[in-house]
Amino acid sequence: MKRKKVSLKVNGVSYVLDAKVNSTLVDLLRDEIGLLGTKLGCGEGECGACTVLLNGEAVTSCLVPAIQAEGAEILTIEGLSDGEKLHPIQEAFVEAGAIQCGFCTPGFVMSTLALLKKIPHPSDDEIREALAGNLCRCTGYQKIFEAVRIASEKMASVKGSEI
Amino acid sequence: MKGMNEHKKEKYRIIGERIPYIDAKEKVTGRTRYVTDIKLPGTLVGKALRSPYAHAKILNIDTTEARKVAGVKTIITAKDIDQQKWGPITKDQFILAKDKVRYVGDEVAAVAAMDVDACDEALAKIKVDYEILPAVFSAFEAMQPGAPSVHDGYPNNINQHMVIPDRGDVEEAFRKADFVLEDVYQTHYHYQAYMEPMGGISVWDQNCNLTIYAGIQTPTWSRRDYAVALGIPVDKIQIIQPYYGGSFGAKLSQQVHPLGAVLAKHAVQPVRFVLSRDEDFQCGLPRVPMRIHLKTAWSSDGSFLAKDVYILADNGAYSSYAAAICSTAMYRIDILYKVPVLRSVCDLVYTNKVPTGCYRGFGNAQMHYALETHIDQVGKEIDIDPVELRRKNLAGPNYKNPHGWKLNSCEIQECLNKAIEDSEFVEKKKKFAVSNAKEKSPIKRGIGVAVCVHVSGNRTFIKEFEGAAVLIRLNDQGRPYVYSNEPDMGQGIRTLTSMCVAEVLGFDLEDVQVPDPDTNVVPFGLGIFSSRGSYMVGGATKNSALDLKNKLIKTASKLMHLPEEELFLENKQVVWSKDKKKSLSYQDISWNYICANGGQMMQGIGYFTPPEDVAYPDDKKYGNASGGYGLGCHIAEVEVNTETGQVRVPNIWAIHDVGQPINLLTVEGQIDGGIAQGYGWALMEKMVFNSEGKVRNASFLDYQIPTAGDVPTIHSGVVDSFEWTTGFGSKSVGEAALIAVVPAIGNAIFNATGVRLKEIPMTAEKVLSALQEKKRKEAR
Repeated sequence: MKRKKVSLKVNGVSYVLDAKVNSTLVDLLRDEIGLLGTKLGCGEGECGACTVLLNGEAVTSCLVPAIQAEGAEILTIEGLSDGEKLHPIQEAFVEAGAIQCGFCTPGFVMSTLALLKKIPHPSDDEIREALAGNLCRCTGYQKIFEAVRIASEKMASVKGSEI
Repeated sequence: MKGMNEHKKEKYRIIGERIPYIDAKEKVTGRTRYVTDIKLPGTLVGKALRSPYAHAKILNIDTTEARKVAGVKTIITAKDIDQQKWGPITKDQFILAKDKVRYVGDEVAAVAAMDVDACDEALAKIKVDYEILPAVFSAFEAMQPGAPSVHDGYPNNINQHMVIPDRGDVEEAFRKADFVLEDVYQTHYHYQAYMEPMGGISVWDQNCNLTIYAGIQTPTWSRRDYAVALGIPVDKIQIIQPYYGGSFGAKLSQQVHPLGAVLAKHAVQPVRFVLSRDEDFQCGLPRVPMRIHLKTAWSSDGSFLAKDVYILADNGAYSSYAAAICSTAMYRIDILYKVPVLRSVCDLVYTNKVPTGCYRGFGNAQMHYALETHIDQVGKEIDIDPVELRRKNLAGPNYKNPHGWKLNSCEIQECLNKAIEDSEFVEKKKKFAVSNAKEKSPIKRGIGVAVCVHVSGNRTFIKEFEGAAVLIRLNDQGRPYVYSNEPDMGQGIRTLTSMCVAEVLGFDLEDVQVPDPDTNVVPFGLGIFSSRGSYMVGGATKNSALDLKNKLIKTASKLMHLPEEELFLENKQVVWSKDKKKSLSYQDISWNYICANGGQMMQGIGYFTPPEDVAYPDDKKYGNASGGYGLGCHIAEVEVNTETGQVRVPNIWAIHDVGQPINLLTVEGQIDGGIAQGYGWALMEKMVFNSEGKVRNASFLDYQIPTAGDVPTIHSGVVDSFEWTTGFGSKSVGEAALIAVVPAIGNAIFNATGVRLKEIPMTAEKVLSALQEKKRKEAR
C-alpha cells in the first residue's frame, strides 16, 4: 500500500506520520498515535463513536481520509481534561449517569462540545438534533440529554472552560 | 443455606441512593481499554472468508494464490484443523464449515496476517468451488415435506418440538368458556446493535494453554462450549474479560472466539479477531423470530380461564440458545396472570438464515408482545376496560402458578396504579377520544398500556446449578478487591458490587476495586444473563462482605483483647462500643493478619443460592424458575399521522417493581435503555433478507435504531418493594424494561386509530395499509 507523509496536530502535539493512502483519520489516531479513546463502531460514519473535532468542527474520523488531515488541528477525547481534572462536559456525563458501556461516550462528549461551542444554552430540540448522529444503545439517551443540560450550566458558570 | 432466605428491609447508608457509575471517569476520558483496543505484542489480524451462498456444498477450496500474498502468516480451512461440532445446546456448528455452508456468512476459511490489507487481499484470492443447493428461508416452508434439509438428522428441519405438559383440562376449559379469542402475532429478526462488535484476542503458550481476551457475558461457563469446539480440556482455556461495548444478550458463547483461537494456534502468534459491523449484522446472534398462535378462554366477568399457545420459531442455520429462548417464550409469562389451565407447544425450525440467539427479554419479550396485545383485544371484545381486565387477573404476592413457579414479592398492581396516575392515562384517553373525533387534523392521538414480568436468574437455563459466588480480598493496606464471574457490560455490576461491599463494611466507594474477571482467578460462576445481577450477585456480595466483617471483628478481638460482641465497624475501623477511642483500623488488622498467616490475605467468601423451591424443572417441566420476579407497567402515548402511517411516540412511562433498588441511577439507566430498544423493535427495527438469504440492511444506515432525534421522553420510576429472598431485597429490571413497551405502543396505536397491528415492527407502511384496509371495510 502506498504511503504519504501527513503532518497534523493532535491535542496540541505535532505529529509527522507516514500514512497509508487508504487509511482514515481514526486509523492514524488509534494505530499510529496510540490514542485509543476515539472508538470505531461501524467504519461507515453512521454510529458517531469516532467523532473528533477537526479544526473545531465535529467530524466522524472514520470517514476522513488520513491524507486530508494534513495541516489539521485535531481534538480528541484525550485532549479534553486538564490532567485529572475533568472538563465540565465530562463531569456532567459522569454526574448524570449518561455513561453505561461507554463505547459511544467519547463521541457523544465531542459532539456535545461542538454543540455547546455554537449554542451555549441549547433547547431540548437543539440537543436532540445535535446528537442525532451519535448512536447509543445502552442509555436510551435520556441521561445524555440531562448531561448536556448540566454541562451547559457548568460551562456558563466556569470561566475559561471553553476549549 | 437452607432456610436462610428470609431477609428484612434495613436502614441503608448507600443502598438505594443515586450513585454515579464507578468507572464513568475512566470511560469519559477515553482511558478505558475495550476488547477492540487490546493489542498484545506480535498480534496478527484475523478475518474469515464467508459464504456468499445460503446453502451450498463446498467442492474445493484453493488457497494457493492467497498464500502468496505478502504479510500472510496462516490460512486455514476445515481440512487444516481439528474441530468438533459445538453449540451451547445443540452441537451443530463447526468452527469452519466442513462439506457445506448453511447461511450467507458461514465461515469457510480464515486468514491471519500482519495487517488488515494483507488479510483482505488474501481473502479475495481464496477460490472456493461451491455446488449451490436449494435453500429455505421460512420456518413454515422448512417444515413442509420435501423442503431442503439444513442439517442431517433433523426431519422437517425441526431442531426441537417442545411441549409443556397440559396444566388442567384444556379442551374442557375452552368448551365451557363464555368467550374465546384466537389470533396470530409475528415478530422478526431483531439485531442487538451493541456499539462494539463481537471479537476477541487469542494467544496460546507452549503448553497449549489458551488465553482469550473476550467481550463476553459468560466467561467461565463459555469455556465449556469453546473446549468442545477446539477439542481441548476446559481448564486449558483462560478467559479474561476486559471492558466491552455492550451486549444485550448477544455475547454469550460466540463463534468468533473459537475461530480466533484456532487461527492463533496455527499462526503461533496472538490473533485479534474482531467482526466488522456488516459481519456483525450477518453473523451475530439476533433475536429469534416467532410466529405466535394464541388462543385464550374467558368468563363473561373477565376471568382469564385458559391459554393455549403454539409457537413456530425460526432458528436460523445454527442453534445457539434458541431452544431455551423458545422454552421461555412458551411459559415464562404464566406467572404474570392467574391462569389455571395452560397449554404450550413449540416447533423450533432450522432455516438457511443468520443463526439466532439471546437478546434482552429472551423469548419472553416475543410472548409479551403477543399476549399483552391479545388482552387489549379481549377487553374490547367483552367490553371490559383493558386496565380493569388486567387488574382482575394479575397475580399477587405468594401466588404459585400451575408450573410450580412462585412469586414472592409482587407489587404489579402498584406499578399499574402509579403508571396510570403519572401518565394521566384515564384523562388522556377521554381527551384524545374527543379531540380525535372532533379535529380534522390527520394526527390522531392515543395511549396504551401493558404489563410485564421477568425472572431474576432463570433456574431452567442451566441444569447444574444456580447461584453466584463472590470473593473479597483485603490487601496489606486494608483495601478490598472484589472478584466475581459477573461481567460488567455497561449495566453497572461493578458499581453494584462496590456499593454492596461499601454498605456492609463502611468503605468509601473509591476504596473498592473490582478487577476485570479472569477465569483463572475469579470464583466459578455462570455470568451475567437472565437479569441475575442485582438479585444473585447482590445477595452473594452481601454474604461475602458479612463473612469479611466477621473475620475483621474476630481478628480485632484477639488483637485488642476485647470480646467480639462489644466490637463494631465504623469509619474503616473496628471500634469498642464501650470506649470508641479504642479502635483498630482495617489497615492495621489486615497487616497483622497477613503477618500472622505467612502472607495470606484476609478474605470474605460468600455465595448466594435461590430459595429451596427454585429447582431445575422435572420431566413434567414443573419447578420454580426463579426466586425473584421483577415486574413492570409501561404506558405509551402516540401520535399517528393517518395520511402517512407515521407513528410518533412523545412519551413513555415505565414503572417497575425492582424490589429494593440498589442504585436508583443505574436502575433508571436500565429502564431508559430497555424502553429505547423496545421502542426501536416496536416501530423500526427488522433485519431484512433478500431472495438469496443475504441480509439486505447490514449497516446502521439501512438498519436504523433509535437516535437522540426520535427516542421518546421516558418517565421511569419504581414502586416501594422488597424481595425477602435475597440480601438487599433487590430484583431484576434489565430485561423487563424492554418487554412491555412494545405491546403498549401497539395498544396506543389501536386507541388512536382503531387499527390493530399483529406484526412488528409497526412501520408507517404497515400502519397506513391497515388504516386503508379499515377504511375500505367501513365503506362497504
